[in-house]
Amino acid sequence: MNKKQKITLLSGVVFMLFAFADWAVQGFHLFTHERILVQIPQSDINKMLGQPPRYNWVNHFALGLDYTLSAAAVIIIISAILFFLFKTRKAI
Amino acid sequence: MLKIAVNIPCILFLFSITILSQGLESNASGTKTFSFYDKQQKNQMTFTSITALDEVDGTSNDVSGQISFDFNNIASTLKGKISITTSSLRTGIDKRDKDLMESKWLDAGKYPVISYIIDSVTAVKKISENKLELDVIGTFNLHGENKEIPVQATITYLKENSMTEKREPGDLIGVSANFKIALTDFGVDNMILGTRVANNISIGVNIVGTDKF
Repeated sequence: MNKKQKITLLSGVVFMLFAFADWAVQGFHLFTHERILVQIPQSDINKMLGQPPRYNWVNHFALGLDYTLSAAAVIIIISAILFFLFKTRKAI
Repeated sequence: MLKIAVNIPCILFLFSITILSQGLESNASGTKTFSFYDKQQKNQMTFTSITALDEVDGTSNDVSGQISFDFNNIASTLKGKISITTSSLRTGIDKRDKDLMESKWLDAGKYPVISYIIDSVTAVKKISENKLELDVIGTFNLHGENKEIPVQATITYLKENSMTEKREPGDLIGVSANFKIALTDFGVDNMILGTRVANNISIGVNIVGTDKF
């Protein structure tokens, strides 16, 4: 394994770790969400009527395992291609 | 001994009358009807499915319906129906919402409404002057199937005042209820049921109704 191949391998692993870390930070969702539920401030009258807090959908991209695995697969393919291209060719 | 045995049914009868005839303290008399139709869609129904793989939280803000009861005797007079439109269910993922409406799930085209009809009240507990906790038996209709479901609900009554007017005109009633249903009881049986979507769904209903509609 030459230096370029080592850098390719290391970069691939780092990118994959970033992708999985991002997925973990965004809530370990199985599927990518386009909207998330956000609790809205409760009015006094609703409290008096015994109503629990209400939730609203807001547009928010939350990365899921589906997109994370797709990104990981793309990283593996690109790394494999580069790894092959950077192979040291022996002179005939 | 025989005298005591004879009196037991009478004591039980009086006890049940006392428990079930608890009402909300109000100047109102006779039967009153409250509507939950809400143009601003402030009323909300929530549902949650939890499996080892995924948690799905969903809502519907298209809640409507009416309940009516006599203030002095809620237990034997409470009647009503609460509905939501099937197409109003949202889960935060457009593709999943679309799937939910299809025939393999809730079939919104064929069964456009999900409803709960109150059949009877089995217990009433007074929490405060304007708040009651009720154990209700009713018929839940989903996917064209009916099933009797017990529901524990809390009813809070507020007479019209300057504060209630900010929300809606009229006397207001707040209803909070939680219950569980099993999808297979309603003919919803899908390949991924139990893995990505739970069979047992927790439902929460938080709605406010007015007597001026």
